[in-house]
Amino acid sequence: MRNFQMKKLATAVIVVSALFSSIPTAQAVNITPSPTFNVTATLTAACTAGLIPDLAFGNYVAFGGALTKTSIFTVSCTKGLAAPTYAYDVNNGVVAGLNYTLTAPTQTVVLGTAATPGVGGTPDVYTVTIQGDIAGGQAGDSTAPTLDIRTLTVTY
Amino acid sequence: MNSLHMKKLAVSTIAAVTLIAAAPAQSATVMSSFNVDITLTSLCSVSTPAPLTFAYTAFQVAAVNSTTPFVVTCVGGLPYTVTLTGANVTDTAVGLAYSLAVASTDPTPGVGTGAAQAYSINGTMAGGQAGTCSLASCNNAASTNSLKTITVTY
Repeated sequence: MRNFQMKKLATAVIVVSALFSSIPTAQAVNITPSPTFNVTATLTAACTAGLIPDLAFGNYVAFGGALTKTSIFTVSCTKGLAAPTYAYDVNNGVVAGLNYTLTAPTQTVVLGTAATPGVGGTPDVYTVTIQGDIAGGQAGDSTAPTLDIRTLTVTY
Repeated sequence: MNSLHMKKLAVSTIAAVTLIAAAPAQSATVMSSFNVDITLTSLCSVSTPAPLTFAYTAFQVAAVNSTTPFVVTCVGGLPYTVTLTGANVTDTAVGLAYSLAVASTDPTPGVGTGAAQAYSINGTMAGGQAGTCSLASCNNAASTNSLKTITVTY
């Protein structure tokens, strides 16, 4: 019996050894050459305008002095794009029976930041000022509309 | 002397007869076995995907998704991995950030089947990006990080 057990043990050891020796050596292999491909991107540049607050003249005293008011808003553009231009539908109008004029918008810019890996850059941000003027000495019309809707076109 | 010779002859004859009678008629089969040894060198191959294309309008709200397929073919049962370089970058030419991921619709991705296994590169470009462009429209032909490499390790 002891002899038989010894035999079984010896056989098992041999089999296990044989199995180990037949396992191929683990080795990481890369396919060469590795295939490559391109990521192509087409960017259509754009600008986007924020809401334009009302150009509120406030109280005008009839036959009084001139009144000047401004409204400020921002325009964000693709970094590097040329500065946008602006145009009113018309440069003057009447509100509450008072003639007013709009001067060409002025703007300042804060240039955007460059993109970093994994994070896009920031846009060029323009701060735009619209100015309206009511000349002094006007009588006005207390029955006339006090609201005049105008349109500003931003071109880029 | 003569008598002795006769005796010897007689013994020899008897012995010969006995030998012939004792040998039965029979056929013999000899068997031998041998192994067929095969050494298989494992191998994988991978196709080259078409370019992954993005068309993007600055500040657009929705993300842009794009995909390009490729296949990996490996020896059956062989485990492997698929990795990608530059999976999360911002394009150096147009300033748009995007991410790439490797995906597979195969039931056993990462283990060879001996047949082509379907994979794809899925790209996502988040919405709301301004990008960089001095013209109405720009492409990334001058980009220095648009070329990606797929590595299959087995």
